Amino acid sequence: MMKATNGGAPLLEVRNLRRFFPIRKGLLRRVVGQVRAVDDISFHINRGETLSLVGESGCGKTTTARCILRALKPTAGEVRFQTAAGAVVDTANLPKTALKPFRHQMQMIFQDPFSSLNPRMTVFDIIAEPLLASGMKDRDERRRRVENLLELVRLRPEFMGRFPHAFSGGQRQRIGIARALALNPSLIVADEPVSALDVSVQAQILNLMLDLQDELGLTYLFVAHDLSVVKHISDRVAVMYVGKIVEIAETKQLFNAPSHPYTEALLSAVPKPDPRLRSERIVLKGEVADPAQPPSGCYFHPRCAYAIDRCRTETPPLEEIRPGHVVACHRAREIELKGVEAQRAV
Amino acid sequence: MSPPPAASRAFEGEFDEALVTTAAEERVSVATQWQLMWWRFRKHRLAVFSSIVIAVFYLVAIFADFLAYADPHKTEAFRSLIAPQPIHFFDEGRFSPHVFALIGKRDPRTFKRVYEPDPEQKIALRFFAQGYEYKFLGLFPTNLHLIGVDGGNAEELIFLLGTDQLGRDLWSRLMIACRLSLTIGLAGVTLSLVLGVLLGGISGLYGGAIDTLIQRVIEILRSIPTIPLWMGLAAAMPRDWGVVQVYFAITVILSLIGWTDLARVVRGRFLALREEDFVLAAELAGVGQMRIILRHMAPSFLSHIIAATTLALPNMIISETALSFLGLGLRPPAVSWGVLLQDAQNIQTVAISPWLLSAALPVIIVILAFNFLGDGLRDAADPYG
Repeated sequence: MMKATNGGAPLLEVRNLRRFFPIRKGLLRRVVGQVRAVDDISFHINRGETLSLVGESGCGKTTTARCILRALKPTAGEVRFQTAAGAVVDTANLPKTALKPFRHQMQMIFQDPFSSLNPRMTVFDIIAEPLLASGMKDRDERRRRVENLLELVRLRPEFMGRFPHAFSGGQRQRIGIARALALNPSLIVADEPVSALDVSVQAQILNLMLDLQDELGLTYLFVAHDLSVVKHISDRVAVMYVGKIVEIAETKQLFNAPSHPYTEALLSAVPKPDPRLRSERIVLKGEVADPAQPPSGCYFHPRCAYAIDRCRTETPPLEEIRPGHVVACHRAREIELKGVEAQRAV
Repeated sequence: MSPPPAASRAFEGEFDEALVTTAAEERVSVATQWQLMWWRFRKHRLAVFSSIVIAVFYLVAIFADFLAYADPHKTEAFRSLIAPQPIHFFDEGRFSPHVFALIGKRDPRTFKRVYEPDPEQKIALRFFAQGYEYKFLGLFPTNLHLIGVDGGNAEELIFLLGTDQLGRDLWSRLMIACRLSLTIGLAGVTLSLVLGVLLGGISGLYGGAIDTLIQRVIEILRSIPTIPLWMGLAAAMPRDWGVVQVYFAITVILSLIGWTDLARVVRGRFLALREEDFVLAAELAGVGQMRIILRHMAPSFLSHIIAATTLALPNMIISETALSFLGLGLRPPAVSWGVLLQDAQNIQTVAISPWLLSAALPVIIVILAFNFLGDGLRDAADPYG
């Protein structure tokens, strides 16, 4: 299962990941269908970068994140993770017991700062729990480490005796970040870490995350639906639609020159500060496809303004149209789409 | 509660959020779950009062023999169906509690025994008097009682709540009855709790086929009408079983239905907590399953279980009373509220000697108190909700 060190290997490589949820009905709970929450996606994250996963609610972003962390067992596919020792392990197919040595190298920051901290434990106990689980028996040692972690996330160490109810949402999120950092992970999966926070606090948390990335050399998988946040934090962006990745590109490239019609529509929904420029919003027709009964061909074709007959029958593969820019669209090379700047210029 | 730590250091620019608080706020900041629950419970006045009432009842159960003054099992045909006797507290302006002696006669027309107080014969009551022999807590032999009479036999002279058909003193029997009636509820609930937590826990934790099976069993058990089920089970009990055996059999019968509610509460909490982010965070941190259950899940449903248990207790008590009243539960010579109420089954009693109904009063008070207490606990159970 382990492979020899590969110098240029990405920190994380996801290959053909699938996660289907069975739909059960009746007294005998027979399986009558599948919700294809994550449907054959592949991408990679390089060491030290931030990859954002964006898409509408229910498109499979969170499921992807949880499959990578093995909070959910993937139905199929590989999650190849380069461990601190340099070996590459496929965490998707390891038995749960064999996973423990690698668990601490990938940690998660949660969306809801209220439900992600046990209200019945003090801040010290919350942050020290991963330390305890990894075998740090000495209480003073744990206390020193927790003090360091709290300072790292700019919280006062003397408040470690408090319970989470004494803190605001942003402060709680910092505690969550401190917990995630406790075991020196290399990959942090952040599942909408700021979407539950006030706008004023969002920037603080994002900047803290960027600072920590510089200080500790962290790699982020950033799950979000707020594109202005994504633009601020990420190096590359992957766009998901109904369980599939439709486009991956560098942030600037994606925002300025998207190549998938869905990305264009998403970008047009980004609020613009200047009211005179609020004209060219692309309103998609119809509803988001049902992941239990996806349409034929390209999942986006019923809503796509550029769809041709081929889109209805043939599923487009992810193709690299220029270095580092992959798109799943038959017409990616033919059509001219507008990015954020172009839309603004109209 | 430990005093709050010394005032926080002055705000330092490095930390962008000042967490400087007053002493009162700091007290809340470091308050544990149980402190928060207690603060919230304290606001529920009725629940606090009810908990005192319940405590008093259990004290009565412990000191039942001390509070009684007559042997609850001693029958005397010449003292049958005496009406409650008023206590006079003052004698010619002096505090001297006493009762009037009763003179029993037979009504020449109805041949019914009638009792007339004789104001000339005052029987002074004495506190901490000697009376019949008993063993306190079943261990220490003593004959000390709260009230008695000087140099006489209390059971022949005082009848605070009257007597029953066989001439047994009702006050004393009521005191003794607290013991069985209040403990059978506890024993039944304890058994239900063990069954409920175990089966509910398994159901919620493993899910799948086991969960479906346990849930269907619960639904079937709950769909059986309870009284016929109890009647059947009680009828199956051998008639020659002693008081203790019957007591435990009744406990088992009561908890057979009682566990289902608790199992549902526990299962529901498990299902809800399994999805909580903080449980996932613990899993991702590599915390073992046992520790997750004990450290993360159990504390957050413990309070709910306590509330559910408190609400289950009155059901147990009233079930025992109902069963015993119907003659299916405890049987004489055992003394419980239900057994006492058996004497008040016919309209004749209610019309002629209504004091036999007095056992209904503690039942009502205890049930109400437990319900109020349970309400208060349930409201306080989730201080973060």
